[in-house]
Amino acid sequence: MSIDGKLGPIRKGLLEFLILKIISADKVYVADMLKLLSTTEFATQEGTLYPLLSKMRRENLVDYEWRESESGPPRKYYKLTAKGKSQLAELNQYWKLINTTISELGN
Amino acid sequence: MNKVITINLNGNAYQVEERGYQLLCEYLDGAETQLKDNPDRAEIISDLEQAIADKCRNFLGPQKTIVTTSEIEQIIQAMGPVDSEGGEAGSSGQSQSSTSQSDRKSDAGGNSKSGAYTPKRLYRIREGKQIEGVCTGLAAYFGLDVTIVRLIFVAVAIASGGIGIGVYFILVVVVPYAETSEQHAAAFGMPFNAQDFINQAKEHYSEFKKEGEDWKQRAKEKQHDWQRSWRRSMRHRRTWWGPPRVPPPPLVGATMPIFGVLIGLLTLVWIFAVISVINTHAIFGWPLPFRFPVWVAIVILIILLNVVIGPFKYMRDAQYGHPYGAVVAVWASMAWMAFLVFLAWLAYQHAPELQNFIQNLPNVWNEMMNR
Repeated sequence: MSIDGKLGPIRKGLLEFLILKIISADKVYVADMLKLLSTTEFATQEGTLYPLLSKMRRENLVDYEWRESESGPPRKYYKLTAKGKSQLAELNQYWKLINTTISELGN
Repeated sequence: MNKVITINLNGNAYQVEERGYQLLCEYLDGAETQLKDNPDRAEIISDLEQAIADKCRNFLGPQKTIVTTSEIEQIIQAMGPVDSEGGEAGSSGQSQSSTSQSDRKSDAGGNSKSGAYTPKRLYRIREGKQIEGVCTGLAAYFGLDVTIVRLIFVAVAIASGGIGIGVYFILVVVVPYAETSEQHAAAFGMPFNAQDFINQAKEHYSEFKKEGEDWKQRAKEKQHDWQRSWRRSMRHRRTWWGPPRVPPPPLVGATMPIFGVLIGLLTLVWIFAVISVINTHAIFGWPLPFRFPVWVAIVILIILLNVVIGPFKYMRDAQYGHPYGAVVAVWASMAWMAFLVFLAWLAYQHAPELQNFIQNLPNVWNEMMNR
């Protein structure tokens, strides 16, 4: 298995965590998220993001509201729910744990 | 040369090349297959369509109204394959089967019914018009070549002894120009009306009733849908490339026939003025200056008419096709029928003048040509 084949699932698994992080900072709509992610190794596309966001909403992690835009139709602006916030805190905690484990093991 | 197809992406009308249309169909069909077990399928599809619409918009400008195939390819490339469940790994590589195009017309969200049913409206169309865009509008409405419509119109105008000309100007007064992309779509019979929203809402409602579970979430969704439909219907008259239209104040709808009648009366006065200037070289007894050419007087009258009824036309146009227009529309059409009957009666009463008018037309033409 190529290195990318191993990293792909890791990136995918972390995408949800990153989305939670992005949304926690400010209310955003999908194009904003894509733009923020585009410069990182987590660059993704609408085809992935919309289904993921709808799944997260079904799990009650995020919610959205319609907001008018100066140009074009109203946009969905996403925000975190209380559950989303607590899950983000947990994930942050866990991420730190993983980091310490990775840096400490084998040294 | 490529054929162009008008598509409805989540309520936005776009013109794309035929091959691009096929690619979009394949993409959205593939997305639907991927999402077939997803409870939020309809919503995700409409989100995707909206995202495609946004990207299409970036390729368009005042001089460019068509999205080319290569641009559609870029858009699909940028959209990326649709994952069934977002976070799941390894599901993105699945091939996107291209089911028949008719499937797209009956998708769950009711978003892409390109041509499924075609509520047409008569609009005047500026593109390719000769005088006021009546013939181009009629051609679009009846799906005929514009030249054929013009020939028919001329033939009718001659056969009816000039009444056809009157009909033309009545149509100019009654029928507004297609200003927005939605109105253009309606002029050619692409679906874009409140019925779509009602059907969509009904579909959502029956779904909502059938499933029963998770009702709170669904009620919320439905509310969003309604809000969105409402906003979109309010936005009906505004496009992103045109200047924003001022929405009419709520109660003005009832006054629509008044504007129509006013415009009609002014036009009537104008027609009489033109007839009198041609027949007697005077406007309602007020003689033209010596050797003042009749055709200049007619041009001045045309300009004058447009200046005077311009504001009324704007007010009427601002209300044309508004959601609460059913009662108003009946009123307006009744008023117009009465007006037409009145006009026919007048034409009958003044038959000699009318004949005189037709006979004098060539003189005016010669006078203009000889200058």
